[in-house]
Amino acid sequence: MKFVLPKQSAFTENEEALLTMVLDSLVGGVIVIDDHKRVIIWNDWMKMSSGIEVTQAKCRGLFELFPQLAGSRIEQSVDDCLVRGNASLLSHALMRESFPLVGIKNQEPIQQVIYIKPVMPTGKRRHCIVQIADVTAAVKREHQLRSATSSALSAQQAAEELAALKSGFISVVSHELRTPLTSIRGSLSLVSNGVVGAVPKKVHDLLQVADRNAGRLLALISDILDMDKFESGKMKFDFQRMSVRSLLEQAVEGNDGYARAHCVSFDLFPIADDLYVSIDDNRMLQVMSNLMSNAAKYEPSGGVVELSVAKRGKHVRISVVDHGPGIPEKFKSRMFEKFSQADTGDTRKLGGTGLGLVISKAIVESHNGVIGFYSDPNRRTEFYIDLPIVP
Amino acid sequence: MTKLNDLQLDVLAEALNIGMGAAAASLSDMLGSSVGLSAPRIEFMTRGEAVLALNRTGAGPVCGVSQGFEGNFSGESMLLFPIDKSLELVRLLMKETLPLEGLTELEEEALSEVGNIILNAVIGSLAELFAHDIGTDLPSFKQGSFEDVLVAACDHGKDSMVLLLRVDFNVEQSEIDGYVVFVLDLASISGLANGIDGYMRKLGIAEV
Ligand SMILES: Nc1ncnc2c1ncn2[C@@H]1O[C@H](COP(=O)(O)OP(=O)(O)OP(=O)(O)O)[C@@H](O)[C@H]1O
Ligand SMILES: [Mg+2]
Repeated sequence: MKFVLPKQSAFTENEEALLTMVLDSLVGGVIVIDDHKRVIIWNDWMKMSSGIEVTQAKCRGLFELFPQLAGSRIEQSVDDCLVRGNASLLSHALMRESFPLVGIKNQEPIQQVIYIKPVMPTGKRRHCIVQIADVTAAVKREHQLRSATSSALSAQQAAEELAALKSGFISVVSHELRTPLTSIRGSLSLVSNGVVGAVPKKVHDLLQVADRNAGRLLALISDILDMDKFESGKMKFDFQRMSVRSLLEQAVEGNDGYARAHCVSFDLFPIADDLYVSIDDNRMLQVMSNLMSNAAKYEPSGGVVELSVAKRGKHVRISVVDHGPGIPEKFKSRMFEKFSQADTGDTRKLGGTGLGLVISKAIVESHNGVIGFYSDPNRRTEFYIDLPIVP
Repeated sequence: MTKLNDLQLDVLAEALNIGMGAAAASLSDMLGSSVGLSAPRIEFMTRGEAVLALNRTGAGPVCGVSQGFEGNFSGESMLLFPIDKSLELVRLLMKETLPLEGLTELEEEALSEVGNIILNAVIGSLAELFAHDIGTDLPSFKQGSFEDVLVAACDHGKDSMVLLLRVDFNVEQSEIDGYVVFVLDLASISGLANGIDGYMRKLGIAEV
């Protein structure tokens, strides 16, 4: 391409040749047009992408070469540039008509950004530089990003819908199960208590097995309902100021029967009178029951489960200590996970759902408290809760 | 002369609003949706005062475009939006239904084009009315605090003045507030004042 500088050139012929080489090596289109919109410069990239040779382009009107662009925003911007000296940027996103150019390698249409700038060659009317950048890769990238984002969004939506469905299912099923179970239990106890007639010992024993298992099912259902309430944020608390001592006394009273059934007893260490906490007493008693029933379950027959209270700075620590097998090392990290039961081989025998500690942790944390444990197997296992002291 | 009097400011505001009208028309045409633009307020102040005034709006970081202009008066022109507003605007203009986090490369470019159209139209109307010859530069995308953007935009010396316009964008029932800022040096201010005076003489408006 013979490149004629549009001004009385201060360049030597060699330098002009160098400039031509520079323009031709640019990645992107460079067109310079004069005040009659005739092409003066047409770089190699333009030739390759448009298929129009320099010799064909030279001195032709730009909008004769591309008649489809006559009157387009590209031409309006060129006019604005030539008449007023305004520069324009034509972005890809808002572009309606672009140059009919194709990629050199793949012959696919090129997505473009167009820059239009005035130049004022000495002694001549204003000229215009039209620069074309290929943004095909960026367009593709953003398109991919958008579709990735959109599928991530729909996956998230699907997960949320599924969770809502699951939660709804759980509460419906649980309620539907609870009603008939309660009436089964009621009927069982009427029969086994001889209300409808004398019951032979063998039948009575079987009825008790049935009753115990119905009880376990009920406990399981109420645990599942509690879990669901927590997960869907529907768990409500009614906080009241209460003394730690009365909390523990009620807890012992409520769980004494369970301890006796396991041939163990609770020993409540002396507690200061002036320790108060702000709690939902029913919920906190539920936590105590779980810790105490766990301890009673594992305490060796004839043993004593110790309950004690200690002030630790701004918190009060309530501890439940047993002397059973404890928590195996490999299980310690998973204690507060759903349905986790340390497989000591006897879990089935001892009953339970593995939800008690999960629910306890959620309740304690809703009280701004902490739940934790230390276990020295077969010697001493302590589960504790720390609750903020209130005046 | 480092200040424009009230009459000059009024005439300037009118000229700028003519430019806004032209910009709105070409944007509406381009985007195929109705775009309204107006600049209800125009103020003239030092750069420091402008930073204070803009910070008082509590807009936080801004982004937008900046482009130089040169002729009988020269300086830097800017169209700025609070960042969240700029996201909203671009998406309205691009009719993008799935926003990504932050402005993408192509969205920055689109915003630059919108700024380019508005600033060219506004400067064009000044040039036309005041019989000036003023050309513009390509826009460049800016982002940061008002102060960063204003200071970066002008190596025109400390005593440059700022013409601050609040602009209301109306796109498809949504309203978006932005700012148009001109930074001018002292020589340019008198160039501008001369142009305004010439225009007033032509219209037969008495100088105060
Ligand atoms: N004091 C303890 N000594 C030994 N293992 C314990 C003790 N407390 C809890 N565990 C282990 O942790 C598991 C989980 O306890 P968690 O209270 O959550 O469930 P669970 O008692 O099995 O059932 P649920 O309380 O729901 O009826 C228990 O099954 C047991 O394996
Ligand atoms: Mg338990």
